[in-house]
Amino acid sequence: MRFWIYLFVITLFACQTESKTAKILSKKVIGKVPPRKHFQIIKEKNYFIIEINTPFVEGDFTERYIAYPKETERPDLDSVTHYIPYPINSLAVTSTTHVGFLSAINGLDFIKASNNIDWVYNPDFHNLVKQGSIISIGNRDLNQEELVNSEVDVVLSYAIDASNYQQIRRWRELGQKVVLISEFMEQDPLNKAAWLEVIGLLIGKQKESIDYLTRLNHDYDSLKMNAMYSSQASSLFMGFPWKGTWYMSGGKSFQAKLFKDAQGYYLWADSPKESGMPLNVETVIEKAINADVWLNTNSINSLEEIKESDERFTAFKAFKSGRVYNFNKRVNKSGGNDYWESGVVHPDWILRDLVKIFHPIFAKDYEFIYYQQLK
Amino acid sequence: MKYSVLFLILVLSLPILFILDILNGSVNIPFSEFLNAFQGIEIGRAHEIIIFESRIPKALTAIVCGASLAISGLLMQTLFRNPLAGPYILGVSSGAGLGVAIAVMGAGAIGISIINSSIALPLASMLGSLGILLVLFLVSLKVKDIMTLLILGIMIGSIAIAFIGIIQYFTSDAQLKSFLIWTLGSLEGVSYASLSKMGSVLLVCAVLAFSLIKSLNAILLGEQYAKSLGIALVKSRLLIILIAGSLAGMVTAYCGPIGFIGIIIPHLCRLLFQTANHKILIPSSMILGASLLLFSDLIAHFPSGGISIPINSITSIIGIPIIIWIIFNKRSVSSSF
Repeated sequence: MRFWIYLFVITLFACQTESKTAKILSKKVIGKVPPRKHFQIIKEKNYFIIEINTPFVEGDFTERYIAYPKETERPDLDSVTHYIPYPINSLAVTSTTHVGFLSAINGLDFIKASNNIDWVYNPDFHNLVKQGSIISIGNRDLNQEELVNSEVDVVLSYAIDASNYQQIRRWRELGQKVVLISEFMEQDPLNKAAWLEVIGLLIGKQKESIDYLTRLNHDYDSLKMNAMYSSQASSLFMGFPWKGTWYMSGGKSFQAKLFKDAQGYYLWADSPKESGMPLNVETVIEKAINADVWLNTNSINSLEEIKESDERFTAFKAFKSGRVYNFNKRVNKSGGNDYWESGVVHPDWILRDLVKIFHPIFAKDYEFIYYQQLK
Repeated sequence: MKYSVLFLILVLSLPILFILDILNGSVNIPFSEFLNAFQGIEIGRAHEIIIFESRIPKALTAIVCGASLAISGLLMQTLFRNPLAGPYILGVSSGAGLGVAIAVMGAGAIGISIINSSIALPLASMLGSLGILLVLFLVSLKVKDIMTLLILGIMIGSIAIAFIGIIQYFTSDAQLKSFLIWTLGSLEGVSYASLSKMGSVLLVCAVLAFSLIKSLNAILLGEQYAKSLGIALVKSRLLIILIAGSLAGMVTAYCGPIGFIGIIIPHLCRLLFQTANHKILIPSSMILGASLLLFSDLIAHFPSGGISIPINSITSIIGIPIIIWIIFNKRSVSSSF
């Protein structure tokens, strides 16, 4: 039944878009990076079509952007398309991941405005703020007036839900060119990083971004292959309860994929979910009491804090052996965590940290980047 | 004579606050630029957009929302014959929230997307409000005591919030986050297109409310009295519910819940004009509601450095002391009921 509803909705959307879509989709997809789920870049004769599919969980539709060379005339396609003359000169960023992407291709200079400046970890970014070349456009919520006043060429943003998307629409009504970067929808670490290509194209660094991704894929895959040769096997669980509820990442999530690629045996790997699963604390204790490793303890930063918050947790085997790790090695004083920032373009670094955690002998000489052991 | 002077002051305060609200915002725009902008002289694209596409619709939204909430609150107070009734207190805003929560999260769960529909969200919100108000009204037919009814109203509102909590618990944290953002309330997200829809709903509801003046006045004097005047009570009450629920739901849909305007404005008007006659109360509440929300928005954007305080916090800070004052100053409340 559900399948038919899906089919019906898809057909409806298919009928709404104009016939040109069929033509566009038949064109060859460029790029050497592996298949991705939520975007594709299509090369036409004089311009690029960037398609964002299902930009957020309920957003079962496609956003289409036409990126055309600045010096040429604007192509005339269907009315729902957003036109962006490229390369652009200035950007507003609204997520720390955008900073991560831009830093990977030396593109921080393009940032002219950002909200939540304190949450950014990158020191080069903060130098640019000090020099005055990046201005603040709001803390927590983005300030609409400041955004308009910043007069940037393109706003990199994201929508996590319908009401968020309404806000994006409002910015567009106010004349802003907003490009949705939905890397958070990707559960494969390499697909997440692949969004670099969209940003690279916009700032005229498409070649750099493709080179970077090719290198990244190679590094990630060889690390993954290496981990397969390890004879050690660690079972693991993750997270820390909040108000009695333990949010465990689903077996199809970004985290679970990394655990698997690092050859760790995640106890909830079989769950078919992508999002976090709310679990009862008792359920977790029962299942994970003998797990070797405990990861990602949220705001908890020491074994003592674990003991203080709940005495029961000292019974975990991982607690007793001290194999508890959190990705809080690179955190600035406002709580900005580089794991979420540069981690988006460095799944290889995250993977290497995890390999070291799961196979201690195997990666002995390697220094952690994002993770550290709780003391 | 006194009425007309007071009315004049009220009517004059509106454009003054409107202009102040447009002049004030996160981005500092010199007064001379405003003068140029309105004379059609070029002032730079960004400032032009901020003035004409952002600040003016925002101020107009404040007027429409303030007037809508005030009518909604006034009608609820009369319907329940209860001085403390209002969209926020009776849980009608929570009902709107429940409607939206069910629509946003439920539609996603069965594989239907309501994102590209500009009608679905406001409609769900209005239906949610109407639903709660209707349940409350049905209860009020059984329970006559106004205090009991108020407590029941608060409880029904709490049930709505509890259901929202359950829905949130079973949806992903990403969706949860966005729903929480929605519940903060904002006047800035409303475009001219949405504004025209809101304005039309307000216009229709206001006309209907004016047509009900005789019934509203009669209901205040008691059921028996109203019947003896030949008022079709059931029809009038249903119309009152429809107006009050639609207006509260509409405001909540476009701007999130905005508290306490609905409850305090009718009281302020009763105190100012020393009357319970809806012929005076409806228009004066509309104007005062609009002015107070403009004033709240002015304060919300007052801090410098790009910070703006959520509008709901401001209306609560202004509203709650007034309610407490009303409760302590009981004489004036009971005299109007």
